[in-house]
Amino acid sequence: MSSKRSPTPELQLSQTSLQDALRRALRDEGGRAAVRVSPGMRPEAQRLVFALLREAVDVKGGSLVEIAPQDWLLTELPNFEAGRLLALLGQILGEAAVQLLPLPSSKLMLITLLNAARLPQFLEVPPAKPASPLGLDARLDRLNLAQIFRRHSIVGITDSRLPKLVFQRLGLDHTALIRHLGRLSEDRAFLRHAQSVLQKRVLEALGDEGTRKSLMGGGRIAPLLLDLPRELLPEMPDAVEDEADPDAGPGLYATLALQDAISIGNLAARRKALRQGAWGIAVAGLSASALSLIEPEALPADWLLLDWSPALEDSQVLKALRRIDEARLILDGCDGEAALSWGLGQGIHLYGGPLVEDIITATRMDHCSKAVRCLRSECRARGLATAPSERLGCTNTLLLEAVLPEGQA
Amino acid sequence: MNGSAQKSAALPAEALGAVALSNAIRDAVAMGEERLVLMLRFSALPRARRFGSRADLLREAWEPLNSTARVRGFKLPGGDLVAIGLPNASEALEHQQRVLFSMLEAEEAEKAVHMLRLPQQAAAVMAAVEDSLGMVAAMQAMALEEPEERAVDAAALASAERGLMTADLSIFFRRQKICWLEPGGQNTRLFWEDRRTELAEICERLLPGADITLTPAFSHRLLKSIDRRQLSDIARPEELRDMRQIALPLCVESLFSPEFLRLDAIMPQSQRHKLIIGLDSEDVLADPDLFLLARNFVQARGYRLMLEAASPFAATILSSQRAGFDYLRLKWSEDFPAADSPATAELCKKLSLNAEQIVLAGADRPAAIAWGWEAGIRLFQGRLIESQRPAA
Repeated sequence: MSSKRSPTPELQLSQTSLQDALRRALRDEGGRAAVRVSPGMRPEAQRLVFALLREAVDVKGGSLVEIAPQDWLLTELPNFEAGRLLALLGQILGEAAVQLLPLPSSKLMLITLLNAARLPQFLEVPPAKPASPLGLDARLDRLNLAQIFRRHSIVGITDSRLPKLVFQRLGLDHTALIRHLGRLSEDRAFLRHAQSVLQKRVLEALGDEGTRKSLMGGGRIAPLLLDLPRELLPEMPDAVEDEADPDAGPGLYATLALQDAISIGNLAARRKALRQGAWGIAVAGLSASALSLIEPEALPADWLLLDWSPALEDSQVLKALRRIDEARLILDGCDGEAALSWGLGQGIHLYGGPLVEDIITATRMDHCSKAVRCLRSECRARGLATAPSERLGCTNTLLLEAVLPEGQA
Repeated sequence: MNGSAQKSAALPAEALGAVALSNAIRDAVAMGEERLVLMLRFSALPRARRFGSRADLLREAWEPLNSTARVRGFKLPGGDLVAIGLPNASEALEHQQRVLFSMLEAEEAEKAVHMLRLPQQAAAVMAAVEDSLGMVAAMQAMALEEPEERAVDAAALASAERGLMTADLSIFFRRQKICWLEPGGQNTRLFWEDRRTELAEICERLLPGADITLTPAFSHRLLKSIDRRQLSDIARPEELRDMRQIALPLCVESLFSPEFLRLDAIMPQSQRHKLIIGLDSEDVLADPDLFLLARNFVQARGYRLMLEAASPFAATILSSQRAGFDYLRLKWSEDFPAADSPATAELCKKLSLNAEQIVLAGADRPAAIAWGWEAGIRLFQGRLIESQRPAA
């Protein structure tokens, strides 16, 4: 090895072949650059970026190194190719995800980076193996609805006053479903299939008074948002009569995912007809990305459920939102104060999500005479539970059933 | 935001009514307190009474109760009205009951007007609240029994997928022309070739007797497998050598498949614009983040994108322009609004695309082409177009 005096520290990696590859890249020869990219969490993006990096390496040399998960390095390319690759990756992932490191001037920075990394290694992204559908039905049959569904609440919050219960929602716990399906959940098609099978089972359970009470924790007290796949949306009643009482809202809202809602070509007519059968329509899944693609104001729905994320503050998204009457909006997935203060700033007054469940638990415990015996986490879990066994331990079942104390209503 | 100040306090009243009523009942029952409950169930009335002016009369007659001392009124979803009174308000409630009886036929009143006592009849009152929340009506509207035996299960899907790997799919690949067609028949020319498979045809062979449309997620899975076969097919050297402009529908996920990435690696940059990738509107919105990633990728590489909208409604919600598509494809059907209707004019205004950017598929009948021309569309695909002889 060269013993040339240099102010730069030595590269010290445990894997010899990697050490050699990097030494080669860090030689003192100009006209080259390394490309650093963070492909993000999605496996699709990782496979795509890997394929593009590989293509460049196969033609022009260099090595692919994983400095850390989602922090990848192509060690060297001639300047021209490096610039082209950087531009391409920037277009796909966004400028913030890519970095050009001219060589050899970035040598010190790279050595420091690699020496500090816990376990740098050659990058390898194996192609996805499609999961087999075998076993899917059996797994779904074994699944108990109470393991997967939660009794969520949508509350009304206006200015500083305490929350009021407005809607209940029997929601699917995605994390629990993914855990239960294991590898099968890697295919989005199986996840969607599982969802629609389970939603159908919940619907059947709600039709029976006994199972309904066990799911809902007693009698129903608020209009229900019920997630439905499009094939379960009731058909048009035979005759569509004149308008119902315009002030009276339905007691049950078929809550459709955005893609299901747009797949129903006559949704506006269906909505009008279903109104006679006491059904309303809500559309869920309006994320910041979705809002950047659609004209949400044209959705024929009573309620639109926004998925909270800080990306909602994007100016394009705000422009789309401004065209919707904010009285139709529910801000779902609120996970912190930032969500609430953003929503209040937009004139939204209906909220759901983990933060809302926290607020509900706190309010309930404040009013509960038996609260000293319980942990907040227990009270929260019992409120979300959809089976009597999971509510055991609560000695103030009336309050638990009511979600929030009547003093707030 | 417009008008947020006035609206911010407007929570949906009937939802709050149901919550408040059920809480009031629970409290009365828990405390063992006596209450009288008067209910007017619109849902139990014949249709003629439920809506319009006759219903208005009933609501007007109810109105005095809302300002009666010691009585609390509730309005429930669906329009049912409920009043809860202390025992010493019984006179007012009974008077109201008589008024309602006098306005209705005896049989109607029996069904729709109820006076109940708490705590003894709490269950009946709660049942009525539940009813008002639409459960019974909703379940009646559901009709859950469907042809169970024709749905595809996971085992059948697995065997269909095995069959798909070895089957000769070439007989299922349909090629159709997309032609520029003007009223009067001048300048007719071939734009692209459309290549697609009909899933229904393939399923008839692989899953005889089953209906794949009952399990949309499984359809999607099969489509992904078919995509991979199609992409391998196009990646053959003899296909690439003199590739024509083709429109190819794909699933968003298929753009990340090894087959597409391989095609992308071998297709010369100068050829990529000839491949017009069609993405289905539902598939795009099923995972908008994945779509955005795919769009940025294929457009950076030089391919063109076409939105295949499931219906005019889908095309107005998912704006092909906002979403960055180069083209929009609509498939004509009998359900389209009439050519000269305001609905069609409104649709065209909303889509606001040039004639070069919009394809009308399903042109199997003259009515489709007539509709397209009326809407300013010049690119057509369908059985009628197959018989056209392009000038070029």
